Amino acid sequence: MVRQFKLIKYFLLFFFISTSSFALEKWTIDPKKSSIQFKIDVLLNEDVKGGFQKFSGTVEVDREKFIGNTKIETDADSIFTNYDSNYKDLIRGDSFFDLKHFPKIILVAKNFYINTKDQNTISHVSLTIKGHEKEFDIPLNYIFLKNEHVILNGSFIIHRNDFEIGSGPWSETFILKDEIKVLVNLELDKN
Amino acid sequence: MSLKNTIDSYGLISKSFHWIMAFIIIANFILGFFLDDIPVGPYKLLAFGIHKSTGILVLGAIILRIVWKGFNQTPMILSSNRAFVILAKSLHHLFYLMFFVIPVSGWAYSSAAGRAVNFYGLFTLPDLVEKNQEQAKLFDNIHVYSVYFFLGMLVIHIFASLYHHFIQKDKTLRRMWFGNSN
Repeated sequence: MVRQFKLIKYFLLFFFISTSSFALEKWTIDPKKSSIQFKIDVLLNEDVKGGFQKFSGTVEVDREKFIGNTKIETDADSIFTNYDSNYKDLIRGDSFFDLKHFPKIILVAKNFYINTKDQNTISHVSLTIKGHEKEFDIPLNYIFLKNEHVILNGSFIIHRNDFEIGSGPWSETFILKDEIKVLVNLELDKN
Repeated sequence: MSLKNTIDSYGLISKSFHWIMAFIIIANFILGFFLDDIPVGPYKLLAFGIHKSTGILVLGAIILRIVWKGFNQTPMILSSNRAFVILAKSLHHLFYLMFFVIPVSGWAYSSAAGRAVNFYGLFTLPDLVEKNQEQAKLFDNIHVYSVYFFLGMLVIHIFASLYHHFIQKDKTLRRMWFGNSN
């Protein structure tokens, strides 16, 4: 009897794993149609506005179980801002992104949950910038275009001092504010 | 004291425009001269923001001042020397021209350098020109040299008013101040 239960358990486990892997879809970001932008408020001056030109990533999703995971890698060197004419080297230097030692910005979502009713997802992500890793939740809306193309968009706030973006005199937040508003618009194609 | 000018004296609003703008412009010049000496850091960002915003404030104030001037008569220049009168009028017209040239060239410089001008963090002004580094240098030069030219004019203006006050002993300077000019 015990042996029969064990067999049934193994069978169910095998069934679960096999159906899970079958239902997992892989989607790849189309960088030409996607954008990752950010904005930081500056006291009595124009806000810092910019983005990244080079990034890549995939999203694996199980639409039957409403779960998924993702990994997005951004080339920190592809950063651009409206302050580049005077501060390009500074932004790329060790005070801000230290591109020499930290060329990649990595965002990993080990799991996210799809809410089909409101067409949004809540992703629990870990973001790594300059070797500092922080975990938080980000909400993203999604729109399926046909069955092969999806648009994910949303915005979230991170704090630059959590990642040492702006060290020395730049770590004070009275003038260059601590909050960075990140806006993502990702278009993905089904593999 | 009348709000409006008379043929003999300036009214309260013209006097206020003159002295408040003089204070703001001189303060902004001083800030502008020291901008490059401020070490790279957040306070430099703040100083640039204040300098640019104040330039736009001057531009707005001069438009209001010209409108107010349109509703008023200009008191006559107290000199019997025709050459001095022409010189004084020309200088005044040049002042108004420079009140436009200096902030507009600064605004254009900022636009050409790829940074929009924000007014004291309240709103962002539209770009005057597209981003272009060569144009940025051109507008920067116009901005800087027109400031030097303006300072030369300011020195002449101050010496002329002192000449009226101490040599001619007329009420040119007194009638621009807030007390009784007689």
